[in-house]
Amino acid sequence: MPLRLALFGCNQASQWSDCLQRLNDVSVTAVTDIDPEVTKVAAKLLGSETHAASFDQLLAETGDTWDALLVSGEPTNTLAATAAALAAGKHVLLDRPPCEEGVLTALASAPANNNTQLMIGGSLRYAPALSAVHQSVASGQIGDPGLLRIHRWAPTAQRGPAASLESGLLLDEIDLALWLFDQVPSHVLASSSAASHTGQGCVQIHLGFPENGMALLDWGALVQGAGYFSLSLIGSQGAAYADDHHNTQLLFQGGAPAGLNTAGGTGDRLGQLREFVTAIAEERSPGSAISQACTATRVHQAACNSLTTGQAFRWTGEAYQAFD
Amino acid sequence: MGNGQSKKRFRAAVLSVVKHAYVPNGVAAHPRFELAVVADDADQPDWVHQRNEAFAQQHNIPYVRDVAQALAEYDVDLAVISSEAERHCDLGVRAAAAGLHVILDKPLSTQLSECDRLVAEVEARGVKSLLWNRNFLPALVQARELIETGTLGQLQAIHVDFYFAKDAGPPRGSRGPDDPPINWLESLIAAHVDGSDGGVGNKPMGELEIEGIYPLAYIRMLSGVEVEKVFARTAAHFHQRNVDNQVDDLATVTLQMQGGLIGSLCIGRIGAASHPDIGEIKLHVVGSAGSLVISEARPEVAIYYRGQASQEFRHRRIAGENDFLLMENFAQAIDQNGPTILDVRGGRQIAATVTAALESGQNGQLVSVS
Repeated sequence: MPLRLALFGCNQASQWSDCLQRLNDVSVTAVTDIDPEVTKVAAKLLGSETHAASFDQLLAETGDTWDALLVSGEPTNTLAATAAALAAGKHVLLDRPPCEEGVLTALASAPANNNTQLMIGGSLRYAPALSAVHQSVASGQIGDPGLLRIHRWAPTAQRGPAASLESGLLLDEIDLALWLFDQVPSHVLASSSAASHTGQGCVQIHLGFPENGMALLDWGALVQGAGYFSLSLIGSQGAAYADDHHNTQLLFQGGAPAGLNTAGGTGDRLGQLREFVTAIAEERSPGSAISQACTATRVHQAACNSLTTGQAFRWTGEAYQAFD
Repeated sequence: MGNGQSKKRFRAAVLSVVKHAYVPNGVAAHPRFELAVVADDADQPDWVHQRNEAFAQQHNIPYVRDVAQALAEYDVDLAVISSEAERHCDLGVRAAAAGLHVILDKPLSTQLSECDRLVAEVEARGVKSLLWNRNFLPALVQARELIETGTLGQLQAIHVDFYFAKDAGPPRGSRGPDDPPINWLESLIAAHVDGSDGGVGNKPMGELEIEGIYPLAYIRMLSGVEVEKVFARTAAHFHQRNVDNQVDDLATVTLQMQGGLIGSLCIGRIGAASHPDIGEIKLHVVGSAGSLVISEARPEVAIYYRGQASQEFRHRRIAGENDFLLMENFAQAIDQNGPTILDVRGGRQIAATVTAALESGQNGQLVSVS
């Protein structure tokens, strides 16, 4: 039976439209956004039969036309909308994870039908390159993960001048690290450059895992242009490298050539949506379940606390605490 | 006739060459330097004398089993030291005390107190010093130029990955229940055949201690500031030799530096299967006006052919003038009484950073660099 989606938050409707063209038996039947014009454009683009002025209206008046809610971006009232949808027996996908642990805890305890699925974030897991890296771990090809290095650089215009660790920087990367190591870090330290408070600087998180694992995740603000992502994972039997530097082409227009990253398309978004749809069809928990999102957020919060206090934090078994 | 031959030629005494012959060979390759003698202490073990003797024969120069005698009798200007790491500084102190400039193999020492003793002697005598490094590799020269010309604006972060895709004896977990632990010195003496004996000596050293000087020297040169605090995780992840001797073969280090600059280092001897060449060595530099991703190995050329040995590197570095430029820099420092690219004081600070990182790896805390 085809899965009917409602889209809450329509700013990225065109990207979702690209994904939907690649999936069988999935359609968007209802949309809403805080901006009525954006809502109308999205409805037309996605071929949605109905659109609503608010989420409450979407659920109350068109709820019988959709089975699952796709929360895209960071619309207002995400928590309330998600809880209401779950209570109404709808499956929910939040493409961006909330970075407050309290929000996730509330969602985890929200009443829901036993058969409804809640999937939160984890978009990096579904990027084609990173899925391949995970497969190399899961299959045992590269042995026990030992060292994960991720560089994530983004132009300021993409993340906004207020980008900071507290606003969620590196949360996706933490989720990815936990997924690859399949462990909770024992040690957390965050550091930032002097200019980080302006949104122009750099932040890095250092994780130590039980049984020798370690990870360094850094975020940097680029002046303009395209972003950059690089991942290397060193295992006991081999290594995996997923690196924009390796996949950079050259453009000659006079002067020094410009580097062009060959577009990976909407692979991560498509993979995320496909996992959600498949989990519903197979009546199983999706790959990025709320428990995993809670863990990633807890580690992220420890990193925020580390940055504030200038101390390393360690996992006591119940919580992250600063070293005395 | 090269320009270098119109200036004074410097005569070098090689004080022990048990580790990397590439250091004295690099010195000798510059037209302004010549090797005059190999010397070492008479009480050294046989394997040390054998290596010294072989190197002396190769260069057709004498081998003297008395350091003081060699320094006094062979009219030398400098000493080139490639002994076991724990003897570097002592040989350096004796050479500097004799008024010689000193060039030392890495790491500077296994003890900070020894580094301090050498720094004091070198500075008191006013001689020049150089800790062998890779700061003149073409990619590093390019990175330095981009930073010095302001292309990147104000530096905010420097990250270095420094992996050697080499094996180091049997893999972790391969020791049987009745097998004795691997002896560090014996295994490193045996490793001389394939050049993987950078940590040769009585005291076991991890990868961070052996090779950390290279990436930390990059960061030091590019940033121009000192490391204030470090946080590190270390592990013996790959090699039984490292497990048995309780030293790392994989490490990550967070660097908190002067002026709010941050940085990091990933380092490891990650096994030959982990990379098609010698290993991934990269720099990521973030500035206020631009950012830079540098592959340290480039420029390189790819050579593939039928029947190629599996151990042979497919990608070969080219245009490498690191040895020449190091020695050119050293000659200029002597001529003009200027600084070298990495003197023993800088080497001492790198050793202090490594020492602090090893402490952090043990206690899990941020550690100040002394």
